[in-house]
Amino acid sequence: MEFLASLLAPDFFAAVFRAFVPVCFAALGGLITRRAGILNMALEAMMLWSALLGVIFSGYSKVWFPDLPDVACLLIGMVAGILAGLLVSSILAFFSLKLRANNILVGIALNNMADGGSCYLMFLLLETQSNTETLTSFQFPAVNIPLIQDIPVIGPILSGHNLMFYLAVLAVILVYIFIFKTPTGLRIRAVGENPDAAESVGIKVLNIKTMAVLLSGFVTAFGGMYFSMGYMNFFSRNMTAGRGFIALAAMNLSNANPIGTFFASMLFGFCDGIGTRLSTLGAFSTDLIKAIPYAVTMLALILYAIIRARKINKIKSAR
Amino acid sequence: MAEEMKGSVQMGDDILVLENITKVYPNGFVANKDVNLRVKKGEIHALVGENGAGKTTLMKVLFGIENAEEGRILLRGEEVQIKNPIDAIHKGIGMVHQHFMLVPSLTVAENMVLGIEPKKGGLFFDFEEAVRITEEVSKKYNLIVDPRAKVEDIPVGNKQKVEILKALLRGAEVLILDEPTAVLTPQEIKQLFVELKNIAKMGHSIIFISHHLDEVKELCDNLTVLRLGKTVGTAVVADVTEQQISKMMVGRDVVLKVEKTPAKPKDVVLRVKNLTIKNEFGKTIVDNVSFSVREGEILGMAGVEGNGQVEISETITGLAPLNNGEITVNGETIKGKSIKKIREMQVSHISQDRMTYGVAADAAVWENIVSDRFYKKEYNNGVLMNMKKIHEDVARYIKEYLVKCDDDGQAVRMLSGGNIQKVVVAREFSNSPKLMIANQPTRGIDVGATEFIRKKLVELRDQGVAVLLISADLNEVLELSDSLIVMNGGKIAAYLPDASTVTDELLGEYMLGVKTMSEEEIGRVAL
Repeated sequence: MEFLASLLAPDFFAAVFRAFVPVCFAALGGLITRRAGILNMALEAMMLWSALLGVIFSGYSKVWFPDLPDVACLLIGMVAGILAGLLVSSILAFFSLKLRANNILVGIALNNMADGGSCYLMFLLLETQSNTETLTSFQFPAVNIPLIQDIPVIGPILSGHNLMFYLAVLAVILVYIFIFKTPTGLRIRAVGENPDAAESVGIKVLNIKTMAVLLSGFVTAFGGMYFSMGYMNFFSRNMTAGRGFIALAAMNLSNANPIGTFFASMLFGFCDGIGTRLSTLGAFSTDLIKAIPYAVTMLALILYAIIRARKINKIKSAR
Repeated sequence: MAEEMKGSVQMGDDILVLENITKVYPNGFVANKDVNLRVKKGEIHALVGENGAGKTTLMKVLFGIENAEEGRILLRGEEVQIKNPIDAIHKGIGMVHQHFMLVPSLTVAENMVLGIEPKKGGLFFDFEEAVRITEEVSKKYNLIVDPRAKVEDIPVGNKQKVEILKALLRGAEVLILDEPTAVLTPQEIKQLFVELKNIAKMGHSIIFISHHLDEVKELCDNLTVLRLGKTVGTAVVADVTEQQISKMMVGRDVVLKVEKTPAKPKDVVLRVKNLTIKNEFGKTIVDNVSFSVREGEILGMAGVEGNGQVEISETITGLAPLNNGEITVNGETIKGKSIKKIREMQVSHISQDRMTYGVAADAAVWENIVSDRFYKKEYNNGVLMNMKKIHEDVARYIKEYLVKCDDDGQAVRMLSGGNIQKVVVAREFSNSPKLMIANQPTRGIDVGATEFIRKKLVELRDQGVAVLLISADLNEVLELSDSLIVMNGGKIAAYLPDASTVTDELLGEYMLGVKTMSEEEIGRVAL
């Protein structure tokens, strides 16, 4: 009973939102490329490099230019993080679109390289392989929303989270508008579904796909930076821990719909929050608890596949 | 008049002239040699020729997909260079491809304006404006479509309308239609012809590519015939007969009439009893169908496509499982048998879907021919293939079945449609069948190959093979069959024991469900 009551406390929601943010950003990144007909396996790599480079540039900008205000250092880190996401996505675009390598293999290679490479770079700079705690980095601030924070019950739940949380919610809306309400979004959907049709009316398929991949890197970068510059203020080895793949699952669960992606990411956050709660009880093995969000994701995917198969059957038999 | 277009081309003047077009592919194949084509404003111009005659290449040159080595293109009297399809569209040339260039999950309106999307607020896609544009052009040309429907939900005929409208919206004055009737039902074809005539009347010119001479006769004003990459002639359609056109196409009189003696049927080979087939979603596709085919007869199965014929042939040949009903071949059931086991019962199958079930397109000619027998003792010693024997046999089949290929190692994909089908026929005919299931054996192939395959089917019958001929081609099914069954709505609508006395009109009435026989009338075939 006490356990259930604790699930209504604002700090439980905070835990849910913390797990939600990176998955949401990465899932939106994956969504954009999938709409353009590309399965983006490199989300993990994009996040890892953004997480590391964001920390390093924000930290070193202070070391090299001590007079800079903290906000400027944070912004430098953010720009670096975004550039890191764009860099990884442009490598993905170059190999899988320009050179026509298999994008899944390129994605896997980038992920493996990101794991080892980020660690190596950290070692080169800081002579440690575990984390960047020795480097003072800057964090995105928590935001209190005026008026809303004063509403009883809901106020403390909705207000006071990291800026990145609100950006993630905003990103869901922006991506929705972009995909469904702009000419470019229409072209992306056309290219993803029938590239020949798009080409036949003069749409440059390769350009659209490249743009989608780069945009994906841009959005996913925020997910990466949340790890090291939002939730934490340092980078540690492989700190994304497979969230890129969870994001892919969340995006697929919603059939690449931004609103659905929001809820699927929230579901993951919820499971992660429950896990954290359960571990405080000390009754279960922490390893087992850590597996909960992933297991739920699997179950959700299975459930989704079953529901979809039934739906298709219904539609087809109605014809 | 709203149809006053750029330039001063009047109705009846040449709007498009292709002069001495020569196209040589990098492998040295001369696809077009000094080809000429003149299209007048407001006419429907047929471009006919056998497969591999160079029609597709010529249209690719015109639409900017290929560049010609020699020759020039005059549009509205001025010489133009067409660099790519987009350039072609800008210059007023539109093409309706055989495979639709549509995005299924988008609406009709969205497909219409793709690439030229109307905007609002400078940033957002204006869907309502797209709907309005679609309605406007749809009304103007009397091609009625629902702009808000998703393309995946509309019938094939409407998809084609969307394709035509797309081209017209982009200002096509010359419209290329590549075998547009191949995917349509007879009713849809009729409607299409009315619509095309209307579009031509409004001043647009249409290039109509077709294999069906009756369609050319019905629809077109003039025609140009290509043979072996060259122009062999043009004519006013009204002045020539179908026989004359086909003579131009192949350079000789095609005996579209197949010579055959009366059948001497013997014992029943294939017996289908109370066959019911439901699709994966539980819908009944074939409803309690019974029939039999005897040694030495061709039983034709006529019908509009999609009335259960494909499902029946796939069930008999083992591609689909037999769940309800009985099928026996020479008294032995096929229930639960694999495709290989059924083939070993000497059942041959020409599938209606040549590229999926007929051949492995990237495999060599010889590989395709031995694909049903490579495992047999005569072709291997348990470990290695007996390549000498294989090549000898394949060489014989290539000769016997007139397969035009460089050598037996050539990938089947490189051959023309007619020759690919000959590869299928070579394999299926040479494995000494007792039962031949031929589903659309001559669809989409040239007249010469068609004639050859039809002759071979009759030969097979004379050797005592039971042939089930499934075809939507009325000519074929009437010419070849000894007796006929007609499929409608998954049921046998009629059994006509003597095909030679059946008229087109009567067959049409059964096919379209105007008339249906009772079970007693169907009689013998169902026993």
